[in-house]
Amino acid sequence: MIQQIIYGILYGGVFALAAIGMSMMFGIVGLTNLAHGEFIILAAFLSSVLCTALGCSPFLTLIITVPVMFIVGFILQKVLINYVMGKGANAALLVTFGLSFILKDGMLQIFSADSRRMVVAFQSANIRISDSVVIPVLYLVVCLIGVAVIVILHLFMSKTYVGQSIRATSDDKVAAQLVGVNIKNVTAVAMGIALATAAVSGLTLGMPWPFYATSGSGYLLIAFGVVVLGGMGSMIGALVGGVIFGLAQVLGGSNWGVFISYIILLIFLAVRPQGLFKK
Amino acid sequence: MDNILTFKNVDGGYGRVKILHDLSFEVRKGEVLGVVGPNGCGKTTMFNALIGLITPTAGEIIFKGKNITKVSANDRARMGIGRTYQVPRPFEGMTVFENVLVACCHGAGMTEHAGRPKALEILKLTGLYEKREIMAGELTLLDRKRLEIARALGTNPELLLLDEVAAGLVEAEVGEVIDMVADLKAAGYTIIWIEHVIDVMLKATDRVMCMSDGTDLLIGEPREVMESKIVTEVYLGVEDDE
Repeated sequence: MIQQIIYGILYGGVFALAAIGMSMMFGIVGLTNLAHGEFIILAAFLSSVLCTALGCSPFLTLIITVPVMFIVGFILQKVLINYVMGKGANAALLVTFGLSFILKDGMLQIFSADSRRMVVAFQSANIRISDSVVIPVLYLVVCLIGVAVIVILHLFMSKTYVGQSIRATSDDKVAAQLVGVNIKNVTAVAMGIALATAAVSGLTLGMPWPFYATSGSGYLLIAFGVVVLGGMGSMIGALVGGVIFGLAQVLGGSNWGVFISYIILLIFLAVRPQGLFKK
Repeated sequence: MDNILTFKNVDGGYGRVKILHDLSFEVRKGEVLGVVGPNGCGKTTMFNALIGLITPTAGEIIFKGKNITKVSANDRARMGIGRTYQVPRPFEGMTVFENVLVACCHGAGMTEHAGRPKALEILKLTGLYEKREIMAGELTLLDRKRLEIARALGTNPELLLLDEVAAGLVEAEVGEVIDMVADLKAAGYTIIWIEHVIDVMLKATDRVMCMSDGTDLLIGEPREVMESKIVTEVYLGVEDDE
């Protein structure tokens, strides 16, 4: 039982990271990015390809994937989504839905339907706590990466000039414009950051678990569940939601894990639809 | 006195609903222009057209000699137009200080280093310095209105638009607002002030414009406008017995 709880908590950090970009975009732009799962998988493939081509550690690929995904997000929001959002939120939702199919089919064509997994030197290493309890180093590392990214993002949002403009835009887009904030640029930066977190998420999901071109929709559902549980736009909410989802999946096992997760999600939607940490 | 703002035959509204009809007026640099008129006459729509939230369907808006009719809202803020709302809309998830700092950095184009002392200076001017670390969502109505003004001042405006800042305040608080506006005028700001409180218009403005049906009905000295027969009829709904 203790072992399962440890796994659940460690999964939580990874799930929270998968959700944080989606949560941010909903909180700031009011956009549910249905292609977020595909972007995570795209980033995982990028890391995998770079690992093979450069013969380097998967962690080092972040030097390339994070800025690349930021630029992709910035351009996507600036050129396409800002434009369609002017025609209504439903149009933007449909665009991200279409984008998810384009990305999925594109990845199937390029990378085939075969699964991949990135391997690190400490793939099977464990920290032994007792005879029956161990902490798998890989899961601990990816969880800590997830938590670190969320803490850095929180500090960025609260302490920096750009972060403050993102929070102002999130609070009130009209009022933000009236104090000189260029909300089109701010939302583009926010999407860039969201996809940069997807780049890290792709790495943290692609090391412990196999991934393939169509596995993005599964992660989108997890991210969606975590965001609803924790509260849209809340970073601490994403962490807590991630842990609840992680524990539900582990304690429920392969047969009941997903079922229990979504029963919890349905209960939250009925009782506290704003999530745990949304005021 | 030079004009800082000119509305030339402006038409505009929301979608197919036309609110402003051939609205024309000028604002002199350094004056406080009061705007009165019955509900629905287009006062707030005039502000929305001025700050760029709606684009006029005809006419021109000239600010500091430049045609800003099609300039975006955030660029107008950077050009020197600051606005408050009748119902304050602070960034509730941010502190009072952060609210003003965002305006200093974006509207006034300051670096964060330069914006911090400027924001503190504005908070002192508007009486919010002691409350700078409080979350904006926790402020009282008067303090929210002060924050609206403080945030607008953070953009370093030359033209400040006040939308019913005295509404909902008790008499003593209204007096504080009048004093604050007098200080702002003395500091060189040009102000357009929409207000229903007639006493405020008489005490605090240099000229008053009365609007009706989306156009300028009468503009002139405050007492002259407020006591004119046409304004009494339109604004107060009082008809002359003679």
